[in-house]
Amino acid sequence: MESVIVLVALFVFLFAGIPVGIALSTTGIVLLLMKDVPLASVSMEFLGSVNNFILLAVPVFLLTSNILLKAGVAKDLFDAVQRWVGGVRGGVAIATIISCGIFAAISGSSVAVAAMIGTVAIPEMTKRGYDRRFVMGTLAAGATLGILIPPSIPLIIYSAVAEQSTASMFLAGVGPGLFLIVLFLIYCIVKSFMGAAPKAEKNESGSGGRMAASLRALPTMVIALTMIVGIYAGVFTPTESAAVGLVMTLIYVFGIRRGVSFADFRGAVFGAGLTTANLLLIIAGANVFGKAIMLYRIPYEISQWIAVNIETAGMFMLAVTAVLLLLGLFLEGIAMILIVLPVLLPSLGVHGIDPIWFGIYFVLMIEIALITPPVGMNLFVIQSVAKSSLKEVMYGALPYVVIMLFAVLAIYFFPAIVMYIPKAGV
Amino acid sequence: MPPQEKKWVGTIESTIMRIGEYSSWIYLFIGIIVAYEVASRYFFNSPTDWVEETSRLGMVWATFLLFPACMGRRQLISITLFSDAVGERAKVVLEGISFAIIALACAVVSFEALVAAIDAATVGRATASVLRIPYWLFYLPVAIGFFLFFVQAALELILLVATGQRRKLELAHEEI
Amino acid sequence: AERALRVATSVPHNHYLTNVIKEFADNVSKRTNGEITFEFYDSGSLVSDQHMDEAVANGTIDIGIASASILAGTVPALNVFAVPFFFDTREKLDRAVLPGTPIRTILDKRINQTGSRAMFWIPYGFITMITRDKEVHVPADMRNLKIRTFGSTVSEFVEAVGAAPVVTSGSEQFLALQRGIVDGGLTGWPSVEERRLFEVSRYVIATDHMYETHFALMSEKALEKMPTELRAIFQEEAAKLETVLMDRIFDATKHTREVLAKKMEIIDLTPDEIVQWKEETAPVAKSFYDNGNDLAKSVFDEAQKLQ
Ligand code: NA
Ligand code: NA
Repeated sequence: MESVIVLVALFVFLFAGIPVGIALSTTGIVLLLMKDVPLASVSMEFLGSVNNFILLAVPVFLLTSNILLKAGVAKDLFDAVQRWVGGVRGGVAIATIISCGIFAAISGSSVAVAAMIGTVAIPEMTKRGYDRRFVMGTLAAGATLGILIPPSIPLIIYSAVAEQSTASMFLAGVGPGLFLIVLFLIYCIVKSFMGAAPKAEKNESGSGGRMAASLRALPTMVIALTMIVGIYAGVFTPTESAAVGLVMTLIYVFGIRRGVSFADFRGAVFGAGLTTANLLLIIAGANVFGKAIMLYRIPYEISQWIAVNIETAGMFMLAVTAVLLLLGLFLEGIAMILIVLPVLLPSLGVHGIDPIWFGIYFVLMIEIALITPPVGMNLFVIQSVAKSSLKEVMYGALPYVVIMLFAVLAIYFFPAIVMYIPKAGV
Repeated sequence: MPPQEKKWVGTIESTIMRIGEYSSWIYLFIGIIVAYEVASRYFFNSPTDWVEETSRLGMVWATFLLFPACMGRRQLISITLFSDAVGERAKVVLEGISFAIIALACAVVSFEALVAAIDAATVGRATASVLRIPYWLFYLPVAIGFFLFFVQAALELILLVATGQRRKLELAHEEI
Repeated sequence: AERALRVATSVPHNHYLTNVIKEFADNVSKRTNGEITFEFYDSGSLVSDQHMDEAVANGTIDIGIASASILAGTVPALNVFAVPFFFDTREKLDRAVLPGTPIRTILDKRINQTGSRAMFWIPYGFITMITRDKEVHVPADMRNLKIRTFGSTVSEFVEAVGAAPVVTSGSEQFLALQRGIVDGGLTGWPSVEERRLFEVSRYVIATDHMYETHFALMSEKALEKMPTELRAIFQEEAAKLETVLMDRIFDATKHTREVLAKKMEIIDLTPDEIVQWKEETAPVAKSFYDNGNDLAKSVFDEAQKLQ
């Protein structure tokens, strides 16, 4: 009974528009007071949440994305990819998905990918006469690869909450990331031939241009590869990979390219700082709330209930998927992890679900949340970049929601898509 | 609002914003020293004993001092689905409640962090590393950050009650 | 009815340390005919190991298990147990850590000033070394290896033999070894088995050169609220349990050794080799003394008497 009241109180706070981090903390504080636990634990939890080397990767990855964004690196990469595949029907759509995939390997956030590739690809596609809904949907969905292909901020936070190794989580994201790219590409080609792309692509460059364009995009590819291979080969931890990526980006942007203005650089730094603080406030709030419900044994009660009432792992996953789809309509991805995960974690053991697999599944559900209305950040970003209506983006993204749900099914029946790479690690 | 009041409001807000902006540079500094650690480990085979802990301390200072700036910019992640749907009058009321709760929560955390800092200093609590960093250095930014957060929220609440109008209508959405 | 006491550990529910404190709680419950009850929060679900002593002191929990290597931040004298080969036999331990011995008395007094009381000490046994693929016998074999450590004196030991210390948390150890971020690590015998480190390292170098202990800390605030006879029960049960723990950990370590012998190669050091290790790591003891505060110095003096 207590647990129901607590969850209702939290949802009232959340939907009254109180910032998520504060809503969680306040509910937690009230719960502690009711249990007569000293509030010293609140400041202790706030410090403990932020004083964390793993989460340090968050600001550093954000900083890297922001600097690349301000430096306008996306155009080089997109141009290069397009020279290779731009000739076939739907080529620009294909180039868009591939570029999203490559940028996803540097950026930990999907919004950054959406903004980076969106600014370059949307004008290019609409100019060539691609179907508008198709363009917007492809961008919104392609950008969600940013959080599945490592590095990924949601995966960092997942591993911190579920106490899994971040490196393993990152490696687990590679397989499904490539799988999703293939699914997206298939859809793009089919859709293009069904009339969403113009019959003849204009391709203004020969193969000489191809080499020059590839050369310009090379540094970006090198940074992406260093970060992923470095983690895979065990040269460094994810946090260190973030730092190495940042320094390489600084060298590239200021040493090889023309650099960015100080005002832009300052904006990139402050922006990364604000986003980090924003996220960490939620993480800390969720930890306060999490410890408080621990005192009431709510996670155990709920997993007990699940253990008694839900018999198979399949039913469990079905129920969780329904809940996450619903929550994903309104909630932000990180908040979904922090509110739902602590409650579900004890149940994973009951059903023999691998927490690493579950993390990837969770991120796929967050990707869906990013492109479902009414609250879907990628919809907003693409809408503002393209200056189009939300409806257009929404309808364009809908087929991708179906594709992602299919991907969820696929990893459920073929867990090796997720687990092969982390298990093969030497 | 009389001009002389506007001035002190502006001073407080720009101070908080500047503290936040300067703090964000700490993250850049951390990124660089962590990369240095990697280089030092691989090229000179001498891992450092100070980078990890210094980075965490830097992260604690930067993050807590940035909280009030997040609110000043209306960037705190919140669910606006229902609060967007109600009329202006109700929006003002909801925002007032929100500021009051933020101010209260921040006052509590700031106070507790201050007590923890004093306790840590009295007992001599320190980290178990080579650096042996005293814990009050970790708690101090929590206390300061939440105090500034409290000031910002209280200020917003006062202005909201005084004018009956919301100062910033747009929320800056933020998601990863 | 009395309120239930909150008990926290940072290790899993079936871990040796959790079992010890559960046993203690059971005994107290029985003695008081269930008047006192306990709620357990294991695996760091309520408090992480870094904040354990603080959480006990501020009353978030009533009882918590803290390790000497973490508490050594606040009480650096506890690092005396990490001084190489100072506590490498059962006999020395019995004269240093059992209740009533000088070192124990000095350290207990200091711990009790931090707002929590060390009800009893929980022996954790010797710290040993594992390596991924390097067979180590003498200090010279250690040159340029990257070794996982915890705490400052432990790192000095590694540096003294020309290796590089890498501070890694217990939970990240497995990955650091698997990926080759470190070449080896210092860790307790139970951890080699419980954290499955045998899957990622080939050798145990049974240096057994230092000792690790944990403390069952009880909140001063909770104690003050208790009637005198109840406090007496806690003290008696603590003392009673502690008498059997040292035997138990030595038996457990022996058993762990047997299990690991089937999975890894255990290298025992010859007396000659131990002499070499002692000579090379002698500066650690000197540094502990020179850089220590008064308390550390007096503990060191007592420890010297045992050598
Ligand atoms: Na990514
Ligand atoms: Na959504």
